[in-house]
Amino acid sequence: MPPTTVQLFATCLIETLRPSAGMAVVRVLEGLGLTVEYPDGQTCCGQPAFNGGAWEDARAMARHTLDVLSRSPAPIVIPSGSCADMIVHHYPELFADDPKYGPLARDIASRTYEFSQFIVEVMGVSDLGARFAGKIVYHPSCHLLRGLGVDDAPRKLLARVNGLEVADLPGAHECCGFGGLFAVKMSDISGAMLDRKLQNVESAGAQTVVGCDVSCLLHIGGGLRRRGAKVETKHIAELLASDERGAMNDE
Amino acid sequence: MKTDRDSMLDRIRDSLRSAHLPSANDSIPPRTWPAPQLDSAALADSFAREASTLGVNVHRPSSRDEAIETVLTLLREIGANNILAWGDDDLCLPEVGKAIRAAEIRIVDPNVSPDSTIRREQLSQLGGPLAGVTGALAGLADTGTLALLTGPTQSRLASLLPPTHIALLSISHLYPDMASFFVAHPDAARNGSNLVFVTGPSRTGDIELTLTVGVHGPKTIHIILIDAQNNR
Amino acid sequence: MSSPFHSRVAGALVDDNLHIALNRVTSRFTTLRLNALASLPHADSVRDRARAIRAHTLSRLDIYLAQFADSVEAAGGRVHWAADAHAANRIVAEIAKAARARTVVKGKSMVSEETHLNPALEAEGITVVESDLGEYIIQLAGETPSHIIAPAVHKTKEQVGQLFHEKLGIPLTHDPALLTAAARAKLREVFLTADMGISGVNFGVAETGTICIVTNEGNGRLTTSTPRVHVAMMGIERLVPTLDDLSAMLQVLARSATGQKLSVYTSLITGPRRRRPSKQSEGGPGEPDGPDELHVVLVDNGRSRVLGTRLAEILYCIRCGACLNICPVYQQIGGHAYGSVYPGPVGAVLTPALEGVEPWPELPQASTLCGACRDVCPVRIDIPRMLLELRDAGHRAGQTPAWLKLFLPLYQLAATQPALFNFGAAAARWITRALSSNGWLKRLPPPLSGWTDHRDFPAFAAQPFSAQFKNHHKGAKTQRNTKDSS
Repeated sequence: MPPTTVQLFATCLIETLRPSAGMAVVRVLEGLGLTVEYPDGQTCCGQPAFNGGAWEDARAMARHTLDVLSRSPAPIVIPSGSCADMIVHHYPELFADDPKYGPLARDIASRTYEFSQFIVEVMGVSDLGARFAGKIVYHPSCHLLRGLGVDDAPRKLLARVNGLEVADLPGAHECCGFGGLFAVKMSDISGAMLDRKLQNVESAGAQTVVGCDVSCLLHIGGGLRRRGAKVETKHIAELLASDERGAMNDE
Repeated sequence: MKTDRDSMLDRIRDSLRSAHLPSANDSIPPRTWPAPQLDSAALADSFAREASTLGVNVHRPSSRDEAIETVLTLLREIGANNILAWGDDDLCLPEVGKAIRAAEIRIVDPNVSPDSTIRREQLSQLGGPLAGVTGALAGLADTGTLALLTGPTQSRLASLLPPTHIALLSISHLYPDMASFFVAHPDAARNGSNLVFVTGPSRTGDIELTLTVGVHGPKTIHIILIDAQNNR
Repeated sequence: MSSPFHSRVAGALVDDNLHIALNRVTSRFTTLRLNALASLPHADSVRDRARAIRAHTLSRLDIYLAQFADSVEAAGGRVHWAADAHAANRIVAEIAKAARARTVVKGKSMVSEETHLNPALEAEGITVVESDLGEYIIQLAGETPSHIIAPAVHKTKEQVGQLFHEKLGIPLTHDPALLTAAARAKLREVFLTADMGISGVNFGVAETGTICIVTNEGNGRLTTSTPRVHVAMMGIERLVPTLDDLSAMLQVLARSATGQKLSVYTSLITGPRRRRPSKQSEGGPGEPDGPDELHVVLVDNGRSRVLGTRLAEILYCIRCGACLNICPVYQQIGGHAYGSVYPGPVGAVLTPALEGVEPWPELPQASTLCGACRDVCPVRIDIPRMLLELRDAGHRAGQTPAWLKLFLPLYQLAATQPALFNFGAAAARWITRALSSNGWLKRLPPPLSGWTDHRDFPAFAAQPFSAQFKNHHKGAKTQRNTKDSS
């Protein structure tokens, strides 16, 4: 039985930098007949602290997030592969020996999904009746691809978008070079990896780069902008929420 | 006084008390897939195909005489007047040794002294011959590999120093893969100081990944597959 | 960013020759590896089993190491136990002196690089000649290897040609075949006259005391066959229990490293050459050639300590180099930038594991944790997990930069106090929108300036998602109310 209610964990990047992606997610989920709860008090999953080795700080943020998400029994949908991977894989590790948060983390992890994964694997839907005219490339973010093992779901969803041409992205599986604080701490290496990704994007001749992680899109989009390229970035939800008129209603 | 050995083993034992070794089990799990089963003809075909892909010249003479003739022709073509070779009885077809000597090709004494000065002189002699002729303990069909084992009249250098290596291999000594070879020859490694698996001619890609053949080991390999049924 | 690591990285990123070389080797090896694994039946199960073999062996390392040493000695070899690099070098030098060795020929041995063996021998007046072509090239150039499998990969053929012209006196050429032939001739002389050969060990087999050495050129065979004395240096973790287990490891090693099904020469050496059980009158050894002495030097150098930590999994490594080839960071900076004997993903874990994080603060940070290395590792080592462990250790050791040390607790506070989070976000929104033009910022202040060195940064959105969601819900409620009342 597919669920009727979901909790949305929007992620700090969508909250502050790309709310349109979040609204597109809501539109798609409600279009499937789901009730979307937005648990109050959600902030950040703690991944930046975790990746930086500040695990006590990460645990504090994780405890807060677990408290926020455990108020409802509904499954959790996250429009971010890296945040979903953090909760699904690293939360249980962080609290392996914790008598209270250990079980909580394992429970939350067992019902947390990345957005495209949820639609295809849990709701069993790949055709959302979406329409988006244009040529795009899909960039699979690393934590989604390798951490969660999700690649078919977003591709299936994109394949069913009317009017969409999905071009082959050379070196698609190569990391774009974002890596969280890596982008600042090791900015020169990050920039070199970004250049390579952008060269591949350019050679594919697409107008839009689509991904499931706003973090990668921020980095790729910022690079495209710096180059003066006419290519934009979109979260997959922004394509899937586009309706018959070919445009999403921004609210 | 604790020996270095005991100290090291103690350190290891200490560490093992707190070791985090994911996927470690009390015993090694068995293979969950079936062992390859191939008949003699399939083994020979697979072996020949894999070896040829590596640039090895595979000969399949239809008679014992043809096999001997192949060896002599190859040696003549190279212009090898003296060669390194294993003992007659190690060559799969003992007549090959006799035929080589009859063709007035000299087989250089393979023995190398433990004395440094004499050894150097002997090694410089052994560096001269253009070809080495050996038998083979076995062949591995999945990779086109020769298994060569050292013995009293089976030198290492015969398959290593000369630029051309000619190996006689019986089809009845072919195995599907290395694992099945070790099942059949559990003592192979113990029976000689050097068991070497040779898969193609010596090569390197160390300069710009450009493939160059014949670096320190032989550049050219000929494998003569001997079918016992063809012995006439 | 002024640390030695960052200077090396900066140099590497602008080195065009290096980039051409890195692209060539990494793309070729990754393709070859994929093809070779595709042709291996049950490849996934084979890899799982290879991992299980490494894990099991390490979990009983004391038992297998003792068995291995006993078996080597039973076969007529001698075993030496080197607790650290200094001991290893001393042992090898003593063997060389006892053998009156003046020239030593070396096959490839990463362990000997780790212990810096060559300078130690040279200090004793012993000439050391590297015989692996890649190692020979960098030895002539006075450099260190930049890749585990292809040590001279950073050099163009023109650079090698120039080097050989200068150091070997051959006519200037950049034809790899001619250059290789020149090396062959020079090294052949060394092989036939060297007093001692030193090799590494790919795998030791506990049940038989066999050492397995894998090469393509034949230098490994010659190094261990022509000299009178053979010294094999082996990291204590490089063991497997049986010959069958060896065959399982060999199924994945060459495929992962170079895409070959098997390397050209897989040598299984069990003891020095055999002596015929001799009556007084029967002189001479049982085998015609081969070394008369075999010494196996077991090198610990921190491995036994790593075994007791959460980094023990890095000891599963079989040194195939696949992680280097696939790593997007290695592909940009090459091996030398790491500054360590072992570069790439494996080196980023192994080096601080063996030597501590204090001397190597940047290595665990030089990764996006993309996981490509874990994907390609033949024994499925979870390198990203261990990089995170090392980052935890580095943070506790105080290596986190000052600005982050300040920022993280503030961020943690905000993330656990939603009102504070919203306030902070509002402040950032105000600032970024004020400083942006057309919705973007071209320059962020330090310490975030690294971002804008390479890309623009967007201004915060006018209305955060949470507010938009509330409006959306209000709108929906209003609609429902309207419907209900009709």
